[in-house]
Amino acid sequence: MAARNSACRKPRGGGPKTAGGRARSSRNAFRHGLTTITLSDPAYSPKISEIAKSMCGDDQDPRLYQKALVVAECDVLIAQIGSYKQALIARLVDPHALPTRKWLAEWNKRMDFHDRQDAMHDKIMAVHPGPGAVKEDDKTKTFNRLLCEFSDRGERRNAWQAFIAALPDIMRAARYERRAWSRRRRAFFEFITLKSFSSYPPAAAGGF
Amino acid sequence: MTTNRSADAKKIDLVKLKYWFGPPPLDLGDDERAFDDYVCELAKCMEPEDRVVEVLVYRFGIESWKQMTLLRIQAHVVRRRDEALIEFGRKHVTNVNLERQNRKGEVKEIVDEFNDPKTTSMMVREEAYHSFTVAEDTNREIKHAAAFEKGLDVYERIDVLISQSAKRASDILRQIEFYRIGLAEKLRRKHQTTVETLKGELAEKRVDPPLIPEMDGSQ
Repeated sequence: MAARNSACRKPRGGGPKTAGGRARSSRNAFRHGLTTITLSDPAYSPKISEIAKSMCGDDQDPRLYQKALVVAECDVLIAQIGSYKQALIARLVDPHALPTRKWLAEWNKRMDFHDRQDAMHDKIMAVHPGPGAVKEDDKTKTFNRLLCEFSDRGERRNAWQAFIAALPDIMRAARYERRAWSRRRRAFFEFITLKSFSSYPPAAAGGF
Repeated sequence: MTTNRSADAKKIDLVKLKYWFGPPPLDLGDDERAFDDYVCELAKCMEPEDRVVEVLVYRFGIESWKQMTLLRIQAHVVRRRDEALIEFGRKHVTNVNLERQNRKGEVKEIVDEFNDPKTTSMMVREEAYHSFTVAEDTNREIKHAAAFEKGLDVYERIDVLISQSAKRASDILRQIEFYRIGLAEKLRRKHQTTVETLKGELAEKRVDPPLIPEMDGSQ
């Protein structure tokens, strides 16, 4: 009974347990770079500051400005996540593209595809006509036909199919979006409170 | 939808918002002009008073647009699944009818040539083949069920995204409401302070006449 109780008390968290798994998951953020979109990033900081200043308007309260910066940061991050999702869907219009998740079945499919491509490559190289060959013989014709088959990527996915194929990746990106939204909501309510009780003079004497 | 863009441009600065937040996330070949019109109409209804509300209205536009797109995708998934189901059902009925017809012929043969060992052996073999066919059909049905389950999984995932979008959209509306309440409170307090200050100034300036008039020396 005691063992059972202690088992119940154990934190049942998901996530990687082994050192290898932890090392691998620590590099997840490199895939999309969504965690780097902060005020400290020079690529985004001018835009974030501009949004924050326009949100503050006439108010001169530095605390209000700080909260506006957080809200603006989250806004920019949410917009970037939206663009990232679009890129994920656009990538999967290619019929041979697979979502970036690492399920075994997906990897097997990918390996099968590469095996097929390898076999095709060998076939093509076997009938390669060589540099000085006559262009009209059967070997050259076969080579050209195989080359066309190799480069033919098949029928492209339409937008619906691409969206459905990209759904696992979209769900993963949605996690970041959820965090950004909840952080934005908290900061925004603090922003409202500060704005409604701010007693700083208006920006007539010089704004931010 | 016909809208006067130049008039709506006063309500919401879409150019600035697009510069800040990038192009709107439009899927499935959506028209950007239609999205712009939609946001302009929203701005007309919500009448943003400053940049904060403008950003919120733009966000609300994106979220509600996304929600509509997801609903369309979900409908597409359902339609595709229904089409597959109808096709499967049609094939299944055809197979069952064919099987029944074959069965009737077999029963006649059994009655006629029941005592013949050759026929019996053939019947046993055919029975085995029939079992195999049933197994194959079952396998196909299992595959179909798996595909159906996968379709359901997609449906549920899209459902999660739709509910998230709906929640965010309603949250944005609540934020706009609270922001306006906060602004009104600030205005009220400012107004009250002004009134009190004026009252104080007036009180300082007002000089009450003495209750007992001062005595002149002439009297």
